[in-house]
Amino acid sequence: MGIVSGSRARSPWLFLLNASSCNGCVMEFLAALSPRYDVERLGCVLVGTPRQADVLVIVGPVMRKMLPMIVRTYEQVPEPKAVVAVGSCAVSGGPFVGSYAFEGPLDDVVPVDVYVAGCPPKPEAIIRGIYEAVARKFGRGPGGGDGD
Amino acid sequence: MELHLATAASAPIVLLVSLVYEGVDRKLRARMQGRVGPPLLQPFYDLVKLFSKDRIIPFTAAYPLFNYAPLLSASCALAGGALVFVVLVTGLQLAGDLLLVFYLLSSSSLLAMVGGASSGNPYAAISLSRGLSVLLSYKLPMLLSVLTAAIKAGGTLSLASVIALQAEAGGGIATLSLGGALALLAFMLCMPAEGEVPPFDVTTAKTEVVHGFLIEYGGPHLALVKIAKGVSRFSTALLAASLFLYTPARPPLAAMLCLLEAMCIAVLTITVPGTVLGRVKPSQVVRFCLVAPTSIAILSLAISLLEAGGLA
Amino acid sequence: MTRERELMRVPFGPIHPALKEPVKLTLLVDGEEVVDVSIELGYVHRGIEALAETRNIVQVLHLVERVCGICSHAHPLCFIQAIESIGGIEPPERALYIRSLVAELERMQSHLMWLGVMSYQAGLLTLFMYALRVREGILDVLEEFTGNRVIKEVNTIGGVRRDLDDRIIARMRSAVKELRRALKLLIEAVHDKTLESRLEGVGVLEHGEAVELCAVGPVARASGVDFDVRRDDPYAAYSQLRGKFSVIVRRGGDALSRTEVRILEVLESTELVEAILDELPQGEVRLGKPLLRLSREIPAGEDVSRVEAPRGELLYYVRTDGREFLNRLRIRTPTLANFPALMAMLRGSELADVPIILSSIDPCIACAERVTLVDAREGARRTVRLSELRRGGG
Repeated sequence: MGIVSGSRARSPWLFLLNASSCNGCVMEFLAALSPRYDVERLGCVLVGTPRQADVLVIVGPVMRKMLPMIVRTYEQVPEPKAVVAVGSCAVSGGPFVGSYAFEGPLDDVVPVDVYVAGCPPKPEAIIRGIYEAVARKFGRGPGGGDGD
Repeated sequence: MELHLATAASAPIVLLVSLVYEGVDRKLRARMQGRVGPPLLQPFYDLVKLFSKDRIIPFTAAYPLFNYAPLLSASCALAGGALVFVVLVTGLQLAGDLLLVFYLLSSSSLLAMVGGASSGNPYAAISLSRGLSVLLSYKLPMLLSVLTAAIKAGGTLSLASVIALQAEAGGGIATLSLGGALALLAFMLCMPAEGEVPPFDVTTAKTEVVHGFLIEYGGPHLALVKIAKGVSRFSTALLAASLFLYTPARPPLAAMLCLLEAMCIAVLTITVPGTVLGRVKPSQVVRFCLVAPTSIAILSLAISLLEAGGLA
Repeated sequence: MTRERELMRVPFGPIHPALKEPVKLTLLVDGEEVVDVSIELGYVHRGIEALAETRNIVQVLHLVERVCGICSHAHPLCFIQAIESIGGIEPPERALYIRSLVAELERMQSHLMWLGVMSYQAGLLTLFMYALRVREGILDVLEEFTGNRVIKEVNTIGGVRRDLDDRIIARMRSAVKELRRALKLLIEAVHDKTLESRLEGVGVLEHGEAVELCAVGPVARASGVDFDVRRDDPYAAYSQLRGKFSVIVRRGGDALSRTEVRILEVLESTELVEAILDELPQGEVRLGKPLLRLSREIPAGEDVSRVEAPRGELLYYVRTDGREFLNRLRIRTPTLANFPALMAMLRGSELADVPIILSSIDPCIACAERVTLVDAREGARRTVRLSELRRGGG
């Protein structure tokens, strides 16, 4: 385990991309930042621009008008990066399959590393998803072996 | 030549200490918010990670400025911080080094902002225009309070003589004279603006201007800007500690004490307000800095002139 | 860099950290002053109303639950009321009380979430953390009662799907008591000097403007419009609970008033929850018949129903076809009604205040995104015109 990959795994910065979500997943994501779940324990910080992000957390079904924004945001995240699809809508389209504005599940649009199902998934599940994505893409889970 | 070597050698030390402060800051903040918070070494991980990331240069950016400004900014901050540290450890007499440190630290902030604004992003431009007015408004009272310390030391603008004076008098300027205490107060009131934390973080506010001038910076660029910011805020605290609160002791011990004091000053003036206060508007920052700290600094200057070096 | 006094066009969104949801504001900025603003919706447009026409009533019930995750009880409640009124179904008394109960719990968590987001906008991360921690207490009892923290799925035709037992009632009582204690601190925190200076006099909406632009909910009440569907057109159990709560009205019309209104509404909701738990009648919580048979028995007809969602008056128009499907569903959400008021607030404000003003109306873009509802042939790309945003009539 080199210093670089270790550091990458311990400092996954998050960017929340709301595709066309109903806010349920957004709220649970924000709850993951709150004291009870405190995702910053793992070195995660919520950043405001995709340029600074490592992990792209995408919630909501992909709808026509947001499609180009999703692709552009994904492209703006510098390598190496991971994508976590949070919520049933991002995973499959959920109840919105069949809508005229629906553009397919998220993995039709950008490569997805980890799927977190649920409507909405609980904050614990979202954190787990981020953890898995980091472990898969950057070598090991954040804070791995640190015991903190 | 020796000075160059010493400065270069102490730059990593200053960087290390300011990163430790960064870690303490984030941990304390989290604790105050009822969270566990990141590990103490988090800033180190962040930096290493950022250096290993891709470099993205937006096509709207003015390439040379956008690319090299962060490097220059970080070097300026490191040079400024290292200079303070070298003088603190060796007691080297350097005419006008106070102004040099001040100049280096200001250039560091300025370069980072200008570099970010050269990205062509409208938010960065707004951030620059905010940043310039804020920079002017808090650097003025800061400079005035530094001058107070210089007057105490007989009008020389050299850090070493201010330290020597405090060593002779057996205590910090701020603890021994009213003028000094007021100057320290004015200096500390400006610290949140220097540290870019609430209530004065108008240039990099995430929700208002999307990280401001940092918006297009990522990867190594961001790492350099972060170094510049972290080092210059800690160096400013170190400057305050050595100018106003120097505790006479044997040289290595005294320097350690100063670092410790700087840490306390930074926690008091950056971590605590950053946690308990909300952000104010840019106009309010300028008004505040030009009223409260400036008038206190002018008052301290006047009192010091009256006391006329009564410390020694 | 030229320092000419020219107007700068600042795009605000669709992806912006001050927005948890995509919406695009284009601000015309002179220095720090916002001269004009235009708003572009449609980024969260999911075609829900058109989808609803292709599904049966029971499926639509689950669909409208997902119009908005924050008010995921208000939407199905409003829908089911229209359906029940078309079908002439009277839910048992106990079910009505439970609907009101969940509605009030939802209001509390929504307002607390809002307070968190609002303080996040104002750079006060600590209050965000605190508000969210307090909110967890409410979510816990919601989860214990309904099985989920966010999407609650409580309503069904002719009643509710779950019944309260003594253990949950006791848990709710203690959670509410806890919340009331924490609220004292939150109220103090809002009146903190720096935060107050950011909110006071910001985004002022005069009484006349609020009436003219048809603002609803806490936004209208903060501008002196004394209106609350719960009192003025009671639904669920609110007619029996009339004396148990008061409608909070402020006259300031600024962001601070809106904050006060919401925080005090949380306090009122704690009273209401306790009153509901005290007066809870015994009996069944739903009709004995199977859900699908009930849904097939709904005749063709139409109805308008409204409830007081956390953000204000929520309006549903439902037309059934008598064969368990819908001919038409129309949703008018409170955020949509508040957009014209938002534009009025933003004009002439400072750039630094934009996130605060925006969040002070507590926008729920996901709710508002059926404006562009047209049929599939016209597509979803049409930009919304302001005139379309205006609510017809009073």
